[in-house]
Amino acid sequence: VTPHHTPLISTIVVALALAWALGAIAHRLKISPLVGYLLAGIAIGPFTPGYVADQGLANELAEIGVILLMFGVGLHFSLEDLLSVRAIAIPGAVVQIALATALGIGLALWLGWSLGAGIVFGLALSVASTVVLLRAMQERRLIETERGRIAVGWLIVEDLAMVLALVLLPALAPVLKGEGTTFVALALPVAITLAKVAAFVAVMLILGKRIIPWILHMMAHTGSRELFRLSVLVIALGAAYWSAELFGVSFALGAFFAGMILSESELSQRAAQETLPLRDAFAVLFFASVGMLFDPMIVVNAPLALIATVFIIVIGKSLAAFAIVRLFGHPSTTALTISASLAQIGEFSFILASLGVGLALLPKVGSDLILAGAIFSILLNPLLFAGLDRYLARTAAPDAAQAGSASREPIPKTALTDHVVLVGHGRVGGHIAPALDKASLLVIEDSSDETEKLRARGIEAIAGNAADPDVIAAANLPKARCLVVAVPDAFEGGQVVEQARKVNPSLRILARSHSEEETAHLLRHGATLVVMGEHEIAKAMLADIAAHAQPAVRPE
Amino acid sequence: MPHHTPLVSTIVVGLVLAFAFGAVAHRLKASPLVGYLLAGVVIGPFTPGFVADQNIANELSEIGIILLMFGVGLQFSLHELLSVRAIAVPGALVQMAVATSLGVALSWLLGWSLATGLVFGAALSVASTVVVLRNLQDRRLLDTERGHIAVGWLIVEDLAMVLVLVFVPALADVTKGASFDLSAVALPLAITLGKFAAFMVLMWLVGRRVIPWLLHYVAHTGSRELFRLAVLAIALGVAYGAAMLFDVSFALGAFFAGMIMSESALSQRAAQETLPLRDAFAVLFFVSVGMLFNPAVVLSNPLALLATLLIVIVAKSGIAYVVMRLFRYSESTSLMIAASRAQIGEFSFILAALGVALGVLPELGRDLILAAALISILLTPFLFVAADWIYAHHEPSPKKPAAEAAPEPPVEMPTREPVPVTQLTDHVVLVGYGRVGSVVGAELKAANVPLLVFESDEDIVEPLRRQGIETVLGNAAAPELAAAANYAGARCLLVAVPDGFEGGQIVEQAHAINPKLAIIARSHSEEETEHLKRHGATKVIMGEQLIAHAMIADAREAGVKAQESAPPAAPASVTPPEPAAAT
Repeated sequence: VTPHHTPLISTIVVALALAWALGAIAHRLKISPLVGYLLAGIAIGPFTPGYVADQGLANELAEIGVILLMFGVGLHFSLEDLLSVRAIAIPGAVVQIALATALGIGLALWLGWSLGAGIVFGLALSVASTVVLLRAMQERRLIETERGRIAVGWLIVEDLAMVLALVLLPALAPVLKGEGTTFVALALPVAITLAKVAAFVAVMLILGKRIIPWILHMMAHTGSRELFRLSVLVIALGAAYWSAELFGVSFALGAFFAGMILSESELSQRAAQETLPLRDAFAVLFFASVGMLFDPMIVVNAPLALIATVFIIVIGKSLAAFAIVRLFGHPSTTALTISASLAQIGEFSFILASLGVGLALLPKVGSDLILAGAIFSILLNPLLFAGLDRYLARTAAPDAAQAGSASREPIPKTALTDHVVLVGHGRVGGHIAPALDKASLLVIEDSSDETEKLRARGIEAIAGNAADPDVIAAANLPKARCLVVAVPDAFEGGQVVEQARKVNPSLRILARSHSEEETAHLLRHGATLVVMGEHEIAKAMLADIAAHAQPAVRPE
Repeated sequence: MPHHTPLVSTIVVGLVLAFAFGAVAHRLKASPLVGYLLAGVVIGPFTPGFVADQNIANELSEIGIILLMFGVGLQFSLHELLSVRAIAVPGALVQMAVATSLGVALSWLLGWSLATGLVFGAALSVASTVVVLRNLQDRRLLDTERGHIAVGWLIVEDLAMVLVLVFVPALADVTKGASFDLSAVALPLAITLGKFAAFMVLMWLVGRRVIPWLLHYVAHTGSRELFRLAVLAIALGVAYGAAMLFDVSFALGAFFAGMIMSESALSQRAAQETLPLRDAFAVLFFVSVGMLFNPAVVLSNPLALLATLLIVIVAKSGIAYVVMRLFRYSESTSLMIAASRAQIGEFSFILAALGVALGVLPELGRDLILAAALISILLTPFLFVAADWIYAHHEPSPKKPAAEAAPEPPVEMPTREPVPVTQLTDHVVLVGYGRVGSVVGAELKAANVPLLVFESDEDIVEPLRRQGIETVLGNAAAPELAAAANYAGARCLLVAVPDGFEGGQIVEQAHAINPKLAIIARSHSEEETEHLKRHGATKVIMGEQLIAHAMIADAREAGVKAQESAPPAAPASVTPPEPAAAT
């Protein structure tokens, strides 16, 4: 029944479907799915033939994506982590912003723009994309490492600087445009803006800190899952929206503060889970909407300026970051990781560019260059990381090379025979490993942090997904005594079991499940024995009741 | 922000107000749906204050419809759909015919033409998919036979409306003086039917192969994000494609996508991944309905509105009840189906909008339809309560195999009626009769331990009661229910629900009532264990630890060397006793 026009639905549907198709292809080619999402955006953008999505709606969907992403960042952010890296993150970010802005001004002046345009352009080039950086870090499981903490802390300092820039730009626009103005006419809007930001932070920290956890707690106590889920969403979106409406700060900052306040509540974990599917969907729409902005003609019309822009983002910023981190005495591994992670621009740059154009500070070409620079630098980012892996593999000790990038480099086959292969070192696997003989144990675990810890304890470990045939091959299953699949997802477990059964038909394979269907699935794929957690719990409970069988027994 | 953001503000203000009113409604023990509708009235164009963008709200609500129907399809199999056709097809057709003729009669009284009456009547004859589904979900009826009949009935109506929408332009010509030309209708009708057939064939032949294959392929990449995106892309993509290419409604397209996916082993996971999105957009659906309501019509045409409401609420449910009884369905099933028919929704809006655009329906007709929709949707949750009440008070014959037929004073409305305190003492209270609870419960029953079970799934409660196990329907975290458990006289409390937080609330309540009670709970992590212990659990069993022990024990049996000073593995056999009570 569609006699009616549906721009919003068609934008969402086409963007998601195309982003998924191209994202899956990108994943297949071992590139980040982000590239696929961006290409999907270009395909539905106004500059390519075929279907054209509604630009205004796509932008708003992208903003919801930014809100949910920043809320998620806030949920995982801890002030302690930021403070622990402040010695490097604050000077690093400030120096890097200054250098990148200076380079941007230089390019702008060379292109014949005004100084004001140069400042906006330079600032836009100086700030990395939170989304891209977090996605890269998550994919490589670096978030919890020291390198990851420095990069995230650095990014937060950059974000705060950009928030200031965003609120101050309108106030400073007359000066930047070279129009003479009195000191009072200049100082007043700046003071008002700063006061608003201060008021926002005060309100969030004093009122928000009390009200937000209280709302969540109350909703959790109603026992209604739907209301709880809705309350999380409402807190994220509401805080972002009204901080923008009332205090003039960005959606992103409001959502970030809301998440940060929630992160102190014991419910934060559940809150994060409830918003995850929404966040993912809207994050995809964010990337697609960025792709839509891209006019491929800029490549033909201004190739030199574009190369210079990309050069500033990828090379200029990286060198600055590398030098600063090395100056502070960190190893070059850390310096290179941070450089690579910051060598791109993203959502803040787009917001800054559109504000600059709106204030007549930045020429339209400037905003096109920023967009093109963003797309190329985001496309190049996974390649930078890959290059980094290769470089580390070549220079570092062979042992470390193995840890560096397990899924991309050939994995040395284990020398163990008659050994136990344990897949997953989480809540179950972590209990199993200590009980087994370490000399004949091989652990396969996704998280490279975990594998490093295991190696430190003298246990052989492979970082990677056990469903990956390369990893299976490295585990020497034909000579193994037993395979223990301790990952919680029975579907993933089924794949591991299936692969292992193919390699060694007589191997003893233990797996775990959550239901009868999962048990059947695992047994069908070749598991020797499946442990169902729920049955074990039931047995333990029954054993405990036996302890309380007499009414008089009241254990204290 | 310097830029104008109608979409963001509509979503944010809509959700925030819906949440606030929904929480208040929940507090007042009404359905949150009532709160969502009122939030829509507040941000609608007819009340002062913020006015949201109507078009955007409509589209958001359509996304809500797509995701809801997709979710229904996921829980449905073709087999179940065909099994209810004997009642759903005649029931829906008779009900639509009678409701439409009543609509024609009312419009004749109002002095409208026959064509107007037909459009008006047709708009009143169709129930709202979303409202019915939400009410069925809230009451966990979706997976029961009654739920299947209700959904099958909805699908027949949905299909009928697709055809009605083809007729409306032809009716418009009639009102403009042209004679009713059957041949002018026959061709578009044939095309519509042909398109629908083509859609079904395509879904059956291609979709049934391609969709599970796509899903399976993506699951094998190991990327959770791509899997989630795939589910969403399939649900929305099939719905949109169906509407664009085959003129089938969004709802039907999404339903078939879900039904095809339900045959895959991954369907459970797929459903979970879309749940938060579905809930958020379903809320926006109710908000957008509320926005359409013009309170002025209540004052200007009270009698016409009353008559419209009578048709929607009393006549439609009455017909449904009679048809159901004629087909020899039980009292309780008939009452439930009748309650589920007594409102109008999204199809009525589409039909009304089309009628006004073509000049067939006067503005007043649309306003009456919208007002009747809002009021009838508001009343739907209460009608379900009323159906329970009528059944409990007038037909307490215990031979009927319905959930409402509790032999004792009825406890099927746990949050609305007082729950009698159990007579048991020195009993074991078991909360949750799922995968863990059922094994524990069967064992305790076999050992003749006095047992009181709390379970929130009606379909599990019913067979338990039949076995003679005292069972309370509902969430044990609710204070009224906690009071009914007689914790003061209990031997011990077993919290077998999987969610550590929900468990924490139950533990907290019980511990407050009887600090000496032995409480055994389960958790998934050290943090949850901590949380549960802090709230008063005597002992917390962590499943992951037990699995590890069972695996170690087996590995050792197979001759794996143990580490020195390793903790002894707990004895754990792997094939547990079959839960005798499970059905």
